[in-house]
Amino acid sequence: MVDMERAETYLRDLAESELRRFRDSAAETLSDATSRVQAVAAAFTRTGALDPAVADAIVDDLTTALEMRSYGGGQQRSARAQLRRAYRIGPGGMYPGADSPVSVTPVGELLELRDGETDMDVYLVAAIRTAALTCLSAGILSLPKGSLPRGRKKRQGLPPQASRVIPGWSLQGIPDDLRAVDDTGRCYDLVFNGGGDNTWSAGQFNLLPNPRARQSPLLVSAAWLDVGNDDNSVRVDLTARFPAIAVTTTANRLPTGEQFLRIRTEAMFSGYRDIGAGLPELAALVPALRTVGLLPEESMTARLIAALCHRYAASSQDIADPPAPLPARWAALLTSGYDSWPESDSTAPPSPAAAHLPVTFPETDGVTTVLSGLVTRGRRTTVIGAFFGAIDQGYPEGPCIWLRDDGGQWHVAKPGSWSSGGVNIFGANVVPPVPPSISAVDVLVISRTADARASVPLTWWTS
Amino acid sequence: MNWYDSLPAADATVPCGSGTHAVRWEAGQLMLPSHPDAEAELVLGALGGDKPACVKMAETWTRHTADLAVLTTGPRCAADEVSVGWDEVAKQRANLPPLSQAMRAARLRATSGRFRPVQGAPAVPAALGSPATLAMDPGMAETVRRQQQRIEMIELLALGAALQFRLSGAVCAAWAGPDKADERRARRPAFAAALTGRFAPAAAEWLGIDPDAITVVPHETPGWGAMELTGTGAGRRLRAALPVGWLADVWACGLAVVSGHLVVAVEQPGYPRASVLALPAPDAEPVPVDADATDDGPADLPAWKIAHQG
Repeated sequence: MVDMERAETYLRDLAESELRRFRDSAAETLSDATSRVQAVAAAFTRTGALDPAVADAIVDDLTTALEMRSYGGGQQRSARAQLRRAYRIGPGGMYPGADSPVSVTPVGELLELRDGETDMDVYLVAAIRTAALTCLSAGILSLPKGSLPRGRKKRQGLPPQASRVIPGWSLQGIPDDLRAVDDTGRCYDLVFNGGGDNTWSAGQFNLLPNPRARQSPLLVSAAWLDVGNDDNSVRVDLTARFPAIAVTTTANRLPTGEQFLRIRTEAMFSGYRDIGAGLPELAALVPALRTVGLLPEESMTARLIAALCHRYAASSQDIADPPAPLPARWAALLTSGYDSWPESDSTAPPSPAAAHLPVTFPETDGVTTVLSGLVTRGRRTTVIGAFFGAIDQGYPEGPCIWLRDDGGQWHVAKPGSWSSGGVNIFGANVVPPVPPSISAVDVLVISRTADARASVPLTWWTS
Repeated sequence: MNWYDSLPAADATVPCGSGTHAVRWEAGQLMLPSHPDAEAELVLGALGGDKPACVKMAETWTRHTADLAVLTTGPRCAADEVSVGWDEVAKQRANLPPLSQAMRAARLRATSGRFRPVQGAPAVPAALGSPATLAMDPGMAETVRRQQQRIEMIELLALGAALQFRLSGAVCAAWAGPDKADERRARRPAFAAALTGRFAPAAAEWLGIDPDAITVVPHETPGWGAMELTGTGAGRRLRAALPVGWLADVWACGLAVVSGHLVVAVEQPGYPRASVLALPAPDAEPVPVDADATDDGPADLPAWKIAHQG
């Protein structure tokens, strides 16, 4: 049984300590002064050690106290609203999880668009479908007019459309007139969610019924889709199937605090923040979780954090644990020069390539992870997929995805995310990138309470 | 015999109408010398007339004399300067999001299933949102309460250091009595933090110890409390147990450290002379000491020195 009074006392004492530090050091910003308290507050609420309302109130009180010591001074006072919460969760409601079947269908079609202001190749990799959502995983190459070969694959365009569901939705380097028609004649607009550099983008097209409808149930049973615009289209066979990929899941059976600390530490690698920058907050969790009895004295994660603090010369005053050797995947990433990624390439990048990566991992901690494909161009590789279930903003405790290629190199996926009806479809940058010469990957999905593994052969295709 | 007997009167100014008016704290009360008939002005205000800013300030003061948020935002020691100007108050008021935004934020919180009223939170002032609206949307009530609390706290802190300490003393005194023992127990972590946050700077000055190595818990049995210093060098730790009343009787009156002694209790409050119990060293027993206020100290608190050791 967790002692909530002990947790509250610890958090309040930490807040007092941070307030003193802020007062005594002109270099401290509001963000510096609240980050450790916020991290511990989130740890306590996530592990059931403290009522979220109490944790929120302590973070809020500290933020107010800091603001009142900042007026008229040179201290940073920005971004206060987002500092006030111990943690946030996405909008409430139903999350399509394990009870809503998810299917991933291979597509493998190249849609050539030559009628716009730029030439575009759309690599349609796979379709992810549930009763409430259909999206097409894709990579998009957009180059100046005349740069791409014309008419290698030319098919009839789709019938003209009066208007779009979301008029005026336009992103540079992304076709804004794509739509689909299913085997019953129903029409859908394709709306892109993803990222890129205006030349090469990767992500997912959401299929929105046009005219609007509450949902698109017919797509679950549709046999095919025609996807394109006025000028060209491709047919997507929705009855195609991948060979089944075996997934092995192993529960970690760690104490609650260790589970929390472990996933937070893993999330440093899958997040976009610099690893060294996040270490003080992480280190602050060690004594906090021990104080409330949720982390054993012998903690492998605490030893790993100590090792990272040592490596990054970060303050490890909160941790007396002896450093442990880093896991191979961390060490491989840290020595791969990932922090200089992405970098400009002096040579012209090769043609894009795409590969199916069809894996659905069993639900763990309320989240089902689905992967659909890999797209790569030069030094930019994206793994595309979706998380089904309730996931915190910023994914601090969401599943962490690692790939180990057949050459033994580890790669980590760094998801950007977009919420859509309780589903977080993502295109995650893969660091370091995966070249098309790789013929197989082992996928490791680390969740709070379990690890899941799958081995997937890769067959790349290109234009 | 009251905790505030060890404090002299203190003045502050408040923008009121087209000018500024003095407000005076004396013997535990906030007075409005420029509004000798404040009660009549309150009646006029209730009838639709303008309520002077001084009168509003006095109401705000009264509303917060038992509000623990004063302790989380207010000063911890004389060096902890909370300098809020009236121009900042006006700016903050102007920056307050409209009620409609507050409602939206509150709904988001409520629909995420995370809203729970915080125990001990003061009620939402009647001036904010109609009771019917607030009843329909409990999340909104909490958001509005926090917003209003924040702006009122800024106003109170704008009264300056002297009144900041006096208001903190009033809050601590309101919670210090034996009749409040059960309520204190329910808020033990909040009082532990209030004590630690204020005792630590004093003890650090007294012993040269790292304030992060100091913890205080509320002392709830008879006697002044207890203190234990362990370890050596950088490993020194100071643990203390002090009654919540120490914050009013000692800390708020600037008596925490007097002539190298740590004051643990006040036997006879008074100004300019107070009789106190003080520790010459952590492992010593407290000794009765007479302390004299010699001059104005930092943060507009009296500066005390030992006049006579009993």
